[in-house]
Amino acid sequence: MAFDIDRFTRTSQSVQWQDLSFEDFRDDPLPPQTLRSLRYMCDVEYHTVCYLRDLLVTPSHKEHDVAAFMTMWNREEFWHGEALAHVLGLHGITVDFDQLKARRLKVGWKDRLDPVKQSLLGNIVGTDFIAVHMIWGAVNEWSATAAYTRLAELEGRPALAELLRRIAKQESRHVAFYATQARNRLERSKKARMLARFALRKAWAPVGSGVLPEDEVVHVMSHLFGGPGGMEEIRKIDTHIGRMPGLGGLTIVEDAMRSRGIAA
Amino acid sequence: MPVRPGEPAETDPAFPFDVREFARRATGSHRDDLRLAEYDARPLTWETLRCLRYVRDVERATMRHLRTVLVTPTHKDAHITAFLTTWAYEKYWIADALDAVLEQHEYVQPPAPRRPVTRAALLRRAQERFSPIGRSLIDNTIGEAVIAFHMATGTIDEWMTRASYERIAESAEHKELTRTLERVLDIKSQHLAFFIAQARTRLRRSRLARRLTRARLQRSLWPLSVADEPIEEESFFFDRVFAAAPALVDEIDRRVRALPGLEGLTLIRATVAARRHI
Repeated sequence: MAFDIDRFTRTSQSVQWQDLSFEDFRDDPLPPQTLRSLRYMCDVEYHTVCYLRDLLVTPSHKEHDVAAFMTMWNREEFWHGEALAHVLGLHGITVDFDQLKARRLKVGWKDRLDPVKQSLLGNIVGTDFIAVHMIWGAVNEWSATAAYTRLAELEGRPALAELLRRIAKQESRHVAFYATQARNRLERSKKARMLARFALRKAWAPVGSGVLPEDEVVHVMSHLFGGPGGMEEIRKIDTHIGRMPGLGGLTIVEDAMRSRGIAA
Repeated sequence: MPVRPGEPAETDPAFPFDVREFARRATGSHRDDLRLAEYDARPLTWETLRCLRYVRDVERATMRHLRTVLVTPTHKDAHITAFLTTWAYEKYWIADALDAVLEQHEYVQPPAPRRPVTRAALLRRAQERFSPIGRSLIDNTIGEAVIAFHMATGTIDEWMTRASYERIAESAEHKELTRTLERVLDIKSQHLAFFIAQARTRLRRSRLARRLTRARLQRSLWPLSVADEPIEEESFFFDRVFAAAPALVDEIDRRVRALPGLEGLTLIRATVAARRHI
């Protein structure tokens, strides 16, 4: 299915929550483990711009459609951060830009070398590396959609569930872009298929790892996917990946869960 | 805030700039507001369209700009990245509005030879491809001072694009175009407010920032992020918009010099001379 970039940009909006009533959180607040997961998701959304940076270091910035998508995508994710920050704010948890800044400063030297490594690799292998970014993006967006949908089901609070579903709906539009790009690019080039398979097997980790502490990664993954039905959702993501040209048989998301001790 | 000779430079805008409020009030597509049929009755001249095409590409270069900025310590500052997120979004739609005007005229960029593939050009291309690597290593060592440079270039970019729109509107004398460009200028005044407040504060408080910004600005030509622009288009734009208005060029230079640490520079005059390729 082709992705219509003009339609996407025209209909791109900041996620709305002003019409949702979160009043009951005052008397009946969300449990701590949910707040902890929301905090993680909120941070990841705000840090999207850091991933954008990685995407732009490669030659993909030269493509007009990609630039248009990145502009809208980055903004939608920022607003997911704002929406989740609002919910956290109702529980007395303030997420401000200074804290996010402190987090980015803490990541330190490792992070400084990331774009260098990536740019070297990306420039050496040229356009084939764009395929890696696109499949990477697709996996992250599939995971995000699954995570929001799961949390909406688990928590069962109508207003929160509605907000999470709205966010998930936007994430699924992002999936459409990344998956379409990835499929086309993987179909076209054997080198792209090999690179993508290699990069996913060797380097993929759940969104947020690397920026946020490993304890938090484990908490979110077990909270959302540890219970009954969780692994089923995880396997669905692996199935999506496996349907991509040259990526059949990969189980990277399930492997990432198992290596963190999360198994149904 | 029009850039006009003799007018005082704008005072410090309210600080701190409320990034969240800015994000909330972001302006998206202008298509519904454009009265494009007006151009059928009274089309713009080819010269005006040619200038609009140039400035559209300047507006559109946001991702290219972010590419150089985000590999430096600037990406660590969440206030700035939050601002840049909405800034890129608004500029996307400004470029789209200019696109709509160009499309209405079925404007086609004149076929011009690309810049000759000289040794210097090849070097430039290689630099462009690999520059984030070098930048990333150098700038992460220099640290926060780099942010001041980025904020100063943002400020100058706003002054230059504002002046361009004002000059284009003035010479076109077209009611609908003026209306559209006024709307664009209104949106961009927020961008200028952010950049200038950031630049002034950061330059004022660090000697390293002032020295670095001064040195780098002397080596750079506006517009920074537009690549492979045919020489004919570039010199046409600079001739018509800036060379014909020397007082305006001096006025922008005066504003640049008023930034801490940038005393005595004539950057804009040098830029116009270089971009005219005479």
